[in-house]
Amino acid sequence: MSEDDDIHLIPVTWIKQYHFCPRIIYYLGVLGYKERVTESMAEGRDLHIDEERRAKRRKTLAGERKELTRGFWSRVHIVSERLGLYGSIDEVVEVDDGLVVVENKFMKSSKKPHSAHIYQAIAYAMLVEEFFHKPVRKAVIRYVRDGRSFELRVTDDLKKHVLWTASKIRSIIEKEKLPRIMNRRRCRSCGFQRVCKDV
Amino acid sequence: MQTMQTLVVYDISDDRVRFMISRVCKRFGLARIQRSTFLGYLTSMQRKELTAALRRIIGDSDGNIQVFVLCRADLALREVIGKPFEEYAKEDLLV
Repeated sequence: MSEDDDIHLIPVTWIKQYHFCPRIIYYLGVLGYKERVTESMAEGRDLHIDEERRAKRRKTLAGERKELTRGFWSRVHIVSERLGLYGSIDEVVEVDDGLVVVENKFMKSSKKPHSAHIYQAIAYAMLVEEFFHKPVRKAVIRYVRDGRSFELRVTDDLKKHVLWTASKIRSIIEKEKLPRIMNRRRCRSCGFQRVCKDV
Repeated sequence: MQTMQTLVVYDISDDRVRFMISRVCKRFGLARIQRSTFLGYLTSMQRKELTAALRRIIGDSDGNIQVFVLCRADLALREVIGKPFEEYAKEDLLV
């Protein structure tokens, strides 16, 4: 892939979408569709704004553990040419031994975080490491609806998998080949259900 | 996938909010069976969307909305006593 290619930069949300269903990348990247804004998405957006206001007042990490924060940034937009990714991070918190990335999700949590959310959070952690030149110790995924949060260690394996995902996304867009549906159970809650011929 | 009947019951004093709630219920294709009660078939995803929309409308204002899911068998046991509700010509004024 050439460096001056216009698909060099990929939004981190596409990493999440790929893990939800690779076919969504075809609709977004090849056909240029926009995802229909559902009521749940609109509600999430409203809650995001409220959450941001609350987060600014917090003195401890994610408002629960007794780790005092030394620095706090919200809605940080970062573009990384080297990683070929860009995105805006909900919260970056500095604690005593490094940085922590917080990603808020406005849905009910399940037993463990969704893989799509994990790779999204790790991709954000990579962007933050690149921009702040400091290691990100962990990523926190917080399901705001029921207040549960999951902590992830930012490991090299997870980072590699994010880069692998980005390369798969680029190849879908370059080859313009419609990917297979990975998990049909997810079709029900997919915003592209109407355009997806296979459903 | 069997769609279940969704019953929406609300009790809201603010006229504007109450009107918006009834409008959303209609938009999702529910039928008015009483002044503040709507009923209709929705898939689980549509119901999720409806509850998100209702939550956004009610926000911090006073009031209460309840969403029930009824299967066909339970709905068949329904008893309607008295005159069935008829849509009023000017129903939007007395939502």
